[in-house]
Amino acid sequence: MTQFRKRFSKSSLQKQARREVLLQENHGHPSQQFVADLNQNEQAMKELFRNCSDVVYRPIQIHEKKKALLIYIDGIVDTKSLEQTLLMPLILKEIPERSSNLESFDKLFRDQAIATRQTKLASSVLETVQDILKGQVAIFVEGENQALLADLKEYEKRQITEPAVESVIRGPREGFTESLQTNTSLLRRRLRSARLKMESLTIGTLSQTDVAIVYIEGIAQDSILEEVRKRVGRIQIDAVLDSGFIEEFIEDNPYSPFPLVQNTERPDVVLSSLLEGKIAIIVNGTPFVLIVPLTFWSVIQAAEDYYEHFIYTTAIRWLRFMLLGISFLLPSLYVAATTFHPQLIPADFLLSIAAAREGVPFPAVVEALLMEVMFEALREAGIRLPKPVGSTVSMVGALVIGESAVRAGIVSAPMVIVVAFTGIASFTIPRYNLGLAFRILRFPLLFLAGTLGFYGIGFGIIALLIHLVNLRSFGVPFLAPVSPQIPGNLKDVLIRSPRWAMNARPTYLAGRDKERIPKGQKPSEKRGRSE
Amino acid sequence: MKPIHFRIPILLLLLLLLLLTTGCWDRKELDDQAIITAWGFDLIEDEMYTGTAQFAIPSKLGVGEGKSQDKAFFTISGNGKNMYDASKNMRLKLSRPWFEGHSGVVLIGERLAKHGLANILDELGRDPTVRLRRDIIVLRGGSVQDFLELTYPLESLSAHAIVSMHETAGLNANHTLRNFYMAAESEESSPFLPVIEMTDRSSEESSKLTDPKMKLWGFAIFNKDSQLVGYLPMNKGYYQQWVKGLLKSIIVTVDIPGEKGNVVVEANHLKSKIVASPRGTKVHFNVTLSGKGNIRENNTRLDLGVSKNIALVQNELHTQVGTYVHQIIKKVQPLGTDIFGFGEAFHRQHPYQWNMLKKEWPEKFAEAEVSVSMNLQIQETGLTGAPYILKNREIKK
Amino acid sequence: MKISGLQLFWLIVNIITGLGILFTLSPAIAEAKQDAWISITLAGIIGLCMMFLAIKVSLLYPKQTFIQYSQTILGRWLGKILVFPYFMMWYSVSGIILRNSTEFIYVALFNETPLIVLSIVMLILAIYVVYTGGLEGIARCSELIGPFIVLMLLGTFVLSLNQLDWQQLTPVYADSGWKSILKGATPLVAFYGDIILFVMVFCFLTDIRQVFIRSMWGIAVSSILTIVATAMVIMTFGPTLPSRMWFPFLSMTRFISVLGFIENVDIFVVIIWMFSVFIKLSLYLFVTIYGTAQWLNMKDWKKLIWIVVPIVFLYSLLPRNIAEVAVNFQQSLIPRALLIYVCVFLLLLWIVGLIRQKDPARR
Repeated sequence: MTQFRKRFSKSSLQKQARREVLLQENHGHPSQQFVADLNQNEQAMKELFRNCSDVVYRPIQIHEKKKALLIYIDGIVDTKSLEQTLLMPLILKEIPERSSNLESFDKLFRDQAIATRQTKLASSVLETVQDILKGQVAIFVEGENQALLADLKEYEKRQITEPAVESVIRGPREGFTESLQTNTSLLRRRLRSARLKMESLTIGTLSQTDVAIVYIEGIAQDSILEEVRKRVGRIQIDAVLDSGFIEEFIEDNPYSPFPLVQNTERPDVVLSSLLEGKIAIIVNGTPFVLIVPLTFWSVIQAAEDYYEHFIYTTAIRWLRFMLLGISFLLPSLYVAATTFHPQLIPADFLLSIAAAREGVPFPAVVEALLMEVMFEALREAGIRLPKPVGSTVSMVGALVIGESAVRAGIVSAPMVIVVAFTGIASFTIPRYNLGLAFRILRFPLLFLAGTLGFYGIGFGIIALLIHLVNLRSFGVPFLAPVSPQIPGNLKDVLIRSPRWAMNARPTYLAGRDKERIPKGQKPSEKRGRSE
Repeated sequence: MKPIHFRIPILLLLLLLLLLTTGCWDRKELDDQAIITAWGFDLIEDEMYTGTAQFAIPSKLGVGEGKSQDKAFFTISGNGKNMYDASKNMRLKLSRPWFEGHSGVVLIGERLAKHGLANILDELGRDPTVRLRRDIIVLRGGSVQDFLELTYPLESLSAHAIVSMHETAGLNANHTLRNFYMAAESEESSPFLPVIEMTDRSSEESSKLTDPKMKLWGFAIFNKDSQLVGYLPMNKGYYQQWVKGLLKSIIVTVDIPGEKGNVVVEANHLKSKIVASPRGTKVHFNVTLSGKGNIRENNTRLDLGVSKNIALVQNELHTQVGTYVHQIIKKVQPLGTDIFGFGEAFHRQHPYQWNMLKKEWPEKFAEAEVSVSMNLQIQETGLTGAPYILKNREIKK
Repeated sequence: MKISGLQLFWLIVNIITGLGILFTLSPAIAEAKQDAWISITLAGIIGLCMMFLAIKVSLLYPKQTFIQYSQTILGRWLGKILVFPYFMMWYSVSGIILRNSTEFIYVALFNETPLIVLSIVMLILAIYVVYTGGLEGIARCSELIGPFIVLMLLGTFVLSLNQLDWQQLTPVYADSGWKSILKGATPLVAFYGDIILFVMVFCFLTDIRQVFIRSMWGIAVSSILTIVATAMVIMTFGPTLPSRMWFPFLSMTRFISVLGFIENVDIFVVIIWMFSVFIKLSLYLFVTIYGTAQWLNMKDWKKLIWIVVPIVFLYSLLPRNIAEVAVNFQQSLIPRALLIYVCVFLLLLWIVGLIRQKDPARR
């Protein structure tokens, strides 16, 4: 462990150095300072923002005497408030003449003019450039070796809409947007506690993307939190365009087909995870928020589970479990049963399958592979194709595969049913990325079933089991709380216990604050009457 | 830890290669197999066996629209010095390897049954694809091959019809093979098998009629060497099953003295209790048959709403059935084949005496004294006591 | 590498129940007839005693494995020499398990696939889990697989209920006598040599205080399951037929028929059995490898996989046919002598260890 830490600290030092070199190339030498000459400062800035047509240089005169210069980037600055809060006071002489140095402006802005926005003074070129890039307006004044930075960040945002991936019948319909501020506000609005912490950092040498690590103090485990900070902190990348970029850097086992990081578009999912002790990573520019650690059993937990009645939810969970098994196993079982162990199938059923297979040119394995590939192709086409063409594809797919291929005797009807059912079953998995893993693994399993029958399937399942058992997500076993079994934590796995019975947070996730709901809140007729 | 992640894919790749290059040994496509639905064995002359298999033709079976009127099966026969030799000759006529995991019936010709079933049973017990659930039936008269060629109007495969008939008759069809093994290997019991026969009809006539041409006939009794030694027709066979404790329900006709007609009773919840008691060198068995009865048919003038009359019917039933069962047992006893479970009862009730007795059990069984007592309670009379059609004065209260 | 008490319980259930039911019913019923269930009960009690012994010895030095504390107790060289028969047993039993189980799967599922392929496939799984997960991986797998094995057994029991004839169990005792009953217990007791394996496992427990309850429950539960299975097999097939079957329990599952649709479920049973075999084989491999490494004072035990596995594989190829595998191994002298040695040696260790711990000068 110590060895590990040493290696880590060493490499982080190297990274620090490298990052500075990169910054120099982009934004000038870090130690470069402004001078007390407006022209020189302007030249320096223009040199840095060479060929950046979206940078606006706006010279003004304060009290018709003093020259000043505003630098900002078009489109990420709120021009209306720029006019009202900066230009108007400066140009229209609302400022007393004597206080025309920057420090007094700063004080003035802070106290009166733009009280809601941040302003600050900076003398470092690097800092100023970075802030301008983030949407601040820099004001240079003749004879000052500082710049006043006023935060007027404002850019086009998408409206908050219902998330497209995880839709619910009952439950909140707000989804995250691409803006970090909006996203954090969505969380904060629902959890008005100072214990909801958001640590922000910037990743990406070019993109300088804002990333926030969100957790609830006392509920998140310190060791996991520390691990998250460490893993996120050591990422070195040019640009972060989606949270997927971050995800690939912080996974425990990059070769596993299983995702070890959850992503969601739903603020309620993030918050319920936070309340269990998980940690969210919000990345600016994408509505997909990462949640770590991820455990396997969330594959069957949908957001809605917690809003609907628990008996219904439990039943649905079992259904999902079954469908998960089907989406993973059914084609292999069919192939193994028909080609290796036909005695397994009841006689009448077997005879009708045999009748359907009569004349089909392919072996069952090949037939299954063909159909599976075809199905995946249809699905992929459905996502990629422009919307107006989509219906054509599904129609052609249904006609060609469902009808003509069977009629022509190229594939057998039972196989079409099997593949279609498998496909439908795979759509019921609430976690899309975990479902993807099972979709991929279906193919090797099919291959095993085709070579060794049920023994091959057994082999596949055991191998998968070993893999899952060895997986960890941020130190938490992937199969927790079932293996290793953590007593008292099984209330949200195979069943969804009623809210009043889930008294404790998952012990393998939560930190100090273990209690969630005080005991003894089970509603009953008697309690209702006495109150 | 890093190298592991690289090594495992390589291992898996090697495994896949191994599997790919060596091929898939046991893979057989369904459409490359001939599915056997029934077997038949017989002896045509001494030491010359004949085997017949009924194969399904899946395309003719056709589900839904494709259902054809043709026969959905065909049979193939072969002769040989033993079972395996016969089946080897059968394979010479077949375009596909066969699959017999779903053959539900094994028919045994009468001649073979008399010769002994030892080698067939050995083959059936050894083959891992064969289930102990198979129905094994003796064919009385006629050739096995002809029988397997018969069609049945309701089922497209006559093999299924045989099992279903057997099941519908209330005789646990798929326990026959196990029961045979258990009886043959035990010290107490003798095995028995159901018997089926072809109903007599010349072929020309039968082509017009559509009624089933097969019928359950009764039971065949085997000795400890698995040789057929006697038959028990169905009307007697049902009672044997009752004594043995295998029957669930039975229909009994009771003649009422002093009346012209009779009363039909359906008895359910049948039980049988055998009490063995050694008496000197002989053994005495008391069989108590019990159950609950419902009146199904009343051809007399008795009003069965009156409990006195019910008691009358009950008493008559007891004496008549008791005597009948006693006769059946007496008839079987000389064969020395215990198909009633007497030996088991003795063994269980007098385990230590059994050890002395068991070597000469067939003889002891033959000379055992048997008494039969009945305890059948008539509980329901249907929707009426007296017959509807009778006038009041005709009814005997 | 740490395992929890619950994982220990499931390990024991996995290892003793599955293959025990498969392989010991037939010889037990052959000896004790309808009283075989008494034999099995007896064997269960003996199993509990063996487990008790194993626990007591291991608790003398709860932080050490068997190989280590035998050297602590008896001195380095004596300890090393006297544990040698354990390795003989572990190596041979690993090979036998591999052969046994693949033979069983071969009979149940295949007829043309070479046996070697099945063995290799099973070995690959065992290597995978031992290499990547070690004991912890095996324990976690068993924790997931164990409930399925128990469910499968219970399911088989329930589905077989409709064809039971309890009278087959009578007369009790009269036919067999205590000699036969004792003889009927020997195959299962020989199987309980597996219990001794756990002397290598106890020291990995996170909470050593749980060891007693969890292990005893493990043995008790698997004994009860085996007893029920025996009784059910007898009630289904009578006292004579099962003794002529290689795998009476498998035949019983084949005999299941419920609603005319739930039939021929034996393949699922076979697959779940495969899981059990996998756990047993990998635990044996782990113990053999880890023990050998400790015996040789090697730090990196994982390297030994590539030496131990080929030995086990070659050993599994030795028996010529199923009769040698299923019958001869259990009745031949050497394994029994080994088993007796193994138990007696443990007893000896316990006594010597107790004396040494009591002796203040030695401390």
